[in-house]
Amino acid sequence: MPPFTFIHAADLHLGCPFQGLRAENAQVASAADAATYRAFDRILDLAIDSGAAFVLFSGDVYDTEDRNLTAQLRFRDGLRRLDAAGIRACVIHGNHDHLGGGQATLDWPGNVRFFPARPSAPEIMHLDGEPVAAVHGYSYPRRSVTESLLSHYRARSEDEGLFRIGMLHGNVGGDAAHDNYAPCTLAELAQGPFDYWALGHVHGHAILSRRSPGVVYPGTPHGLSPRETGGRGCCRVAVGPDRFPHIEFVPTHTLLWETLQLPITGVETEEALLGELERRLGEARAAAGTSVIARITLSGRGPLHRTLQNPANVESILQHLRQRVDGEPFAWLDRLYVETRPELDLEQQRERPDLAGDFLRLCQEAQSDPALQTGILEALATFYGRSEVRRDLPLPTDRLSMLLERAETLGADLLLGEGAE
Amino acid sequence: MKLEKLHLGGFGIFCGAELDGLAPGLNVIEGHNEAGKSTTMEFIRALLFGFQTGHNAQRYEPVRGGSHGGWALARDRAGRALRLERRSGGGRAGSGTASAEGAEALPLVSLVRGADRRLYTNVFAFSLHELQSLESLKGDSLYGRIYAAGSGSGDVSLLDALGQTTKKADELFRPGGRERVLNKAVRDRDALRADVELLKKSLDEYNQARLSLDEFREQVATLREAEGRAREAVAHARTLEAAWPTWIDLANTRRQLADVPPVERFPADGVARLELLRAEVTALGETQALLRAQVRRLHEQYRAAPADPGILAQRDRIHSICAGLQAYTAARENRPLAAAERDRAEAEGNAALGRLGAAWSEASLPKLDTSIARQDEARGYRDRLLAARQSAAAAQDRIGIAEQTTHRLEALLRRAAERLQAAYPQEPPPEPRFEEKLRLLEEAQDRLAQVARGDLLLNHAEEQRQALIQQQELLGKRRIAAGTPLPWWPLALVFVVGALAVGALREQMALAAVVTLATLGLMVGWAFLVRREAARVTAVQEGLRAETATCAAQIKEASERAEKLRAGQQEHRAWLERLSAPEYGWSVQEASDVRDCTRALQSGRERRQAFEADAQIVAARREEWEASREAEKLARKQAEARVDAERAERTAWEAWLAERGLPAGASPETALSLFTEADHARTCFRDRDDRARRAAELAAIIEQYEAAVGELLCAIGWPATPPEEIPAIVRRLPGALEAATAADRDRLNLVDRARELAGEWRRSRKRARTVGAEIAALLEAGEASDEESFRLRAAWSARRLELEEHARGLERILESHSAPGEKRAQLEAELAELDREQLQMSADAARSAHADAASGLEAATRDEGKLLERLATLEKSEELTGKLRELRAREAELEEAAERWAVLSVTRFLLEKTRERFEGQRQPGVIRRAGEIVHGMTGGRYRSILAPSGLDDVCLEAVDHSRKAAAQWSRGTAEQLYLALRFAFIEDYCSNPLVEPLPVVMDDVLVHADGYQRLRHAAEAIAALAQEHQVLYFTCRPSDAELLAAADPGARRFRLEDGCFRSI
Repeated sequence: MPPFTFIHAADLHLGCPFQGLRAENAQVASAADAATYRAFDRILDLAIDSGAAFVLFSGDVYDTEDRNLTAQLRFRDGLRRLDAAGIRACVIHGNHDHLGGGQATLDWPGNVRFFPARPSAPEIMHLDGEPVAAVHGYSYPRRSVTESLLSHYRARSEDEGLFRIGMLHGNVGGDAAHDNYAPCTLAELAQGPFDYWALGHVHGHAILSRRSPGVVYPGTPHGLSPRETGGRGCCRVAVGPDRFPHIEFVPTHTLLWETLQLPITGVETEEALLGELERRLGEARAAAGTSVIARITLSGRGPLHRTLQNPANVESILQHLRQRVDGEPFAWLDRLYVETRPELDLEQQRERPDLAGDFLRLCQEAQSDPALQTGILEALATFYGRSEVRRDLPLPTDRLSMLLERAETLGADLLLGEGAE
Repeated sequence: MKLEKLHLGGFGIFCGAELDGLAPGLNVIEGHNEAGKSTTMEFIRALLFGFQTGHNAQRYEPVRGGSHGGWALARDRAGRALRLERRSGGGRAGSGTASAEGAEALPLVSLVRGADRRLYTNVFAFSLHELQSLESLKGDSLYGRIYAAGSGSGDVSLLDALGQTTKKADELFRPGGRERVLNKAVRDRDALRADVELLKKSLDEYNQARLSLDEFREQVATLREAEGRAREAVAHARTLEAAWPTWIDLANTRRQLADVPPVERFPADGVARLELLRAEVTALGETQALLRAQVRRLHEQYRAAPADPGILAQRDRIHSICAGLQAYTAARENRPLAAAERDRAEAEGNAALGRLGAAWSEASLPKLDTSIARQDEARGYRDRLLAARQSAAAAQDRIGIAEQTTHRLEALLRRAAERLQAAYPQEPPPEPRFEEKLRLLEEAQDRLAQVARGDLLLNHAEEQRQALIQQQELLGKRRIAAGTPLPWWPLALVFVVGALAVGALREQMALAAVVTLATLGLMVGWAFLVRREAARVTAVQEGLRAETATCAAQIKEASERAEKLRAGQQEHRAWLERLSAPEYGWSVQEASDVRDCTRALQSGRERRQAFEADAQIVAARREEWEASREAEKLARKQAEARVDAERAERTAWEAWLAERGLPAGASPETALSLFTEADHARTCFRDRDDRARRAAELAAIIEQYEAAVGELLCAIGWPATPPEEIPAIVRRLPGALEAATAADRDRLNLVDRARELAGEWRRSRKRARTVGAEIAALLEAGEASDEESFRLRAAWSARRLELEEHARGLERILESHSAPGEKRAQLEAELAELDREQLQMSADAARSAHADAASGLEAATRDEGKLLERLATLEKSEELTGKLRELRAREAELEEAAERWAVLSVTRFLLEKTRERFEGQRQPGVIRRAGEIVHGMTGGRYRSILAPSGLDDVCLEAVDHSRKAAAQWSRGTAEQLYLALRFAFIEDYCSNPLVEPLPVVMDDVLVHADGYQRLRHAAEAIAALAQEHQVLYFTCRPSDAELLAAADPGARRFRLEDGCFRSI
């Protein structure tokens, strides 16, 4: 078997918007909308530049089951590029783009094999006319596939000697952060005759096993939400004559989510805060080497705490920093969370004999008093209990403690601060 | 805050009026109606809280002139003197400032924080109108101000905090609101969701369009085929039409060609070639004659040209002489100048020698070493001597400065010591354990307050005990009154026995039996009734017994409480007694004693601290003076050392001069100038020698050049010339050489030209012979015997060629309409069978059929294009991703805004709860205190106020425990109650150490109090309030003023007349 290279990507989520991104800037909005497509283009570039024999897409090519039309067309055009370069492609569909969802009637190029939602013959991959690999796959017939799919992956005796690859979209080892679809264990995967398991579903890159067989999650080629920080990409797998896969992670993201912390301790003025924020954004952009969408949490105690309690001031800071965006790579400040605390020691203030002390003691009491908590939740139900709200925003019973802490800070600011607005 | 002086600069009827000398306690201001009492009260309100604002505001603009507003002098809680000022401007309420001495003015609102105009008007500064309304004491706002005044360290009260959070929360969300942030965000989100759902349906539309496109494509293919066939028919018809004229022309040409005689072979362009050769023969003859004439003319010119071989032979020497002319001329001019320069340099060198001195000559100059090293040495001496001299002078100056400083510090020390001695003839004793004593005094204050409160409680407990005892006695009496039931059977027995006895005696047993039975019946009835009554009385007796027992227990409890209180009082008093020990020496009986002791303690401590600070100043002055003296001594020593150093430098310099042979006593500057002169003399003599050498060189150049010119002139045969004319002769030489050279070149050119012309003549003759042979060969090729027959055969040949070429062209045109070979033949055969009319008819039919097919195809293509366009639009649509991103962003914004609202709502809830609890804790105390005041004001008629549900449900409890609701109060009683409530609120407000007490102002609030006793009690209550709080009482009734003055002997009285205040 001659040595060959293939690309393993998964969870493209083409057409997926950035979760919760506030981009009034047209340039940033455009970059965010195109981010998944640009990452896909980078995968294609990588395949062509690497002289890959084939490319595997292990599920969730599209973000939603109704499959954004633009996303399908972009995917088709990308596969045409691969076809023009003589590179084959195999695709399975996962829980996000299962076969029960909508599909556009498109003319797909001949180099692509979409695996159906039933056991099917493997796709034999060739290099210079010589067969090198047998690729098995199985697509989701519906969104929720909670049973193991391993029984559908049956190796054929006539493929003996070929590099056997299984494309599986599922949860290996029961990762609690993801839906437990197509569950299986690493040991179960290791039992079969497969040389490489091209996995999808888990968004973080992870190599569960390097060889015998290689079991790999390439992760998303692009961070899709603020939680998906850090570099994202796909895997370039080189298979040598020894049949061992040599796995290399290649970043493909064009925008990077960053979550930063900035203590305000020692920051005396708004000007200094702006300078510090600009510096942190610049550093993040320089470190990433690409455009960055950042969320910064201001924490700690400092003289600017009261200023930051006014949402209008925070919005002004955001607007000021966003005006600096000009050209790529940019650093876009998406959110500025204020979790600062007053300079006062609230535990000490709680001992006060006056009304402010009563307030702080009541706040502490409310953390454990069911009657008070019921009263608070009843007050909150005027908004959260509305029919058009409660489906998306349930009554924040689980966040009551946090709300009480923030209320305590706000009340202490009002009663003990240096003056009202 | 206690006012000391009011200045009403311009306020209503007042213009510059002053109310000075206000007491910290009670102040009574008398004045007739319209005298300005209410205006003065409004001035105090405006001073503290700004002019009235609003639609019906009374701003009391000055009617007698003066700047609107005024000022006041006051002292705050800490005893700090303040100046309060209110002026119009800075808003409708005017600008109010409070400034302490030496401190920056602050807004008045920061001084009276926690209070506002409404609170002050309803509680602190009120007229009869405000007093008469209980409503003015109600309302959340007022409660908040009273109970939560100065609740924090900031300027924001609980009520302000509540207001702010409510406002912000309402800005975010209100049920039923439309434009609030959250209401709008929910609406926007729903609208976006609808858009997204709509966009998601585009996939179905796309698939439908693709299906339609496939159908259209099949139709278009069929139509396109039919249209192609029709187009081919039209094209064929067009071909026939186009080929028809050509076909006609071709047939005519073929007929003409058959009429011309055949010419088998004829040279191409034969006639033209013949004519050319004949013309060339003629031209060659003319050229030969012309060449012969030109050769003859050249021979004549050669013979006439002159030649000068001598000058040409000397070409190089002439060039050399001409090149040297400039150097020769310059040498002749520079030789006298060089001699003059030599003489000048010698004279200048001798002059410099003269300035050096007679002892120095040119020969002795090299002995003097004027090198840079020596000059640096001299400069070094110069700098060191100068520095030493300046250093010595500076040291002398420092001695003078040090002496002056010592004198100045000595004077300062003396003055500081004298001041210390004058200020403190005796050293104030130190105040040991100051902090501890201060703490003791603070505790004493607390204990005194507890003793006072204990006395009150003790009285109250005693009163309660007495009341319980009275109640117990009453219960005893009622038990006795309730009685005990008599036994019924003895009476029944007496009646029965009596009846039987009477019956027996009168022998009327039947009657007796009847009577007995009747009696027994009556007795049974009676017994039944008596038993019932007995059961009731027993129950009453039991109840009274239990009540009595309870009462006894309460009495016991009250006695125990009183005992405990007494014990506590004794402990406090014993503790206070210990303060009179010699260690402290304090006699503490009242709160004022504690204040005096505290003041004395602090004063002693401050005096000691001031003494220590002054003593430290004196000690510091002494240290400075001694340090200055030491510095003076040091300066003197340094000055002596500097003088010695200068002397040593001078001696070294003299030795240096002697070593160089320079005059003794010369300064370093003189030595440096001598060095300069010696260097100058040496330079001059070197310059003189250089000039002399240059003059000799110039003379040699002149001599050599003149000899060379003489030899050249001799060689070219020109006469010899004197030196002064040599330049002119040399300048003529190049012209002569050039003329000789040009003449020689012309002769050589003539020879060459003659040779060329001869060669040309020979070539012309040869060509003429060749042309004759060519003409003969041409005639032979044309099969002609002469030139005439040659030309006739040429005409026939040309005509045939022309017709054949034309026919071939027509055939090519026909081939262009069809294809070469057989197809052209088919076309010619087809054309041969047609005539013009048939051709036109078939073409028209083909065009019509094609037009029909093309229109059908165009319509189908147009529809297909529309579908493709729609598909392209759908494919290019990026809307969904953008809308989804926007939707997610909106959802996130909604979540964040909801979070902000939740925080505000929770804060509001907690603040409300805090207020409720705070009020719940403090209001009973206020009501109780108001009850005590009412008790005093009513002369003990009412014992307390009951307000189980706050001020909404107030009633008075009389001494006999009867209760009177609001509807049962007389006007006087109600006003006493309202006054008492206000006094209690004032005490409660001012008990908060974080707020500034405000002056109490009352405007004739006792006019409805009828009866001397009631008035007296009210006056005593006001006087009691004035013990702790400043009170300004305005009245138009002298009797009220007298009563108030009697109640408080320390009260100050003023009279207000004609817009002026006068102390009584």
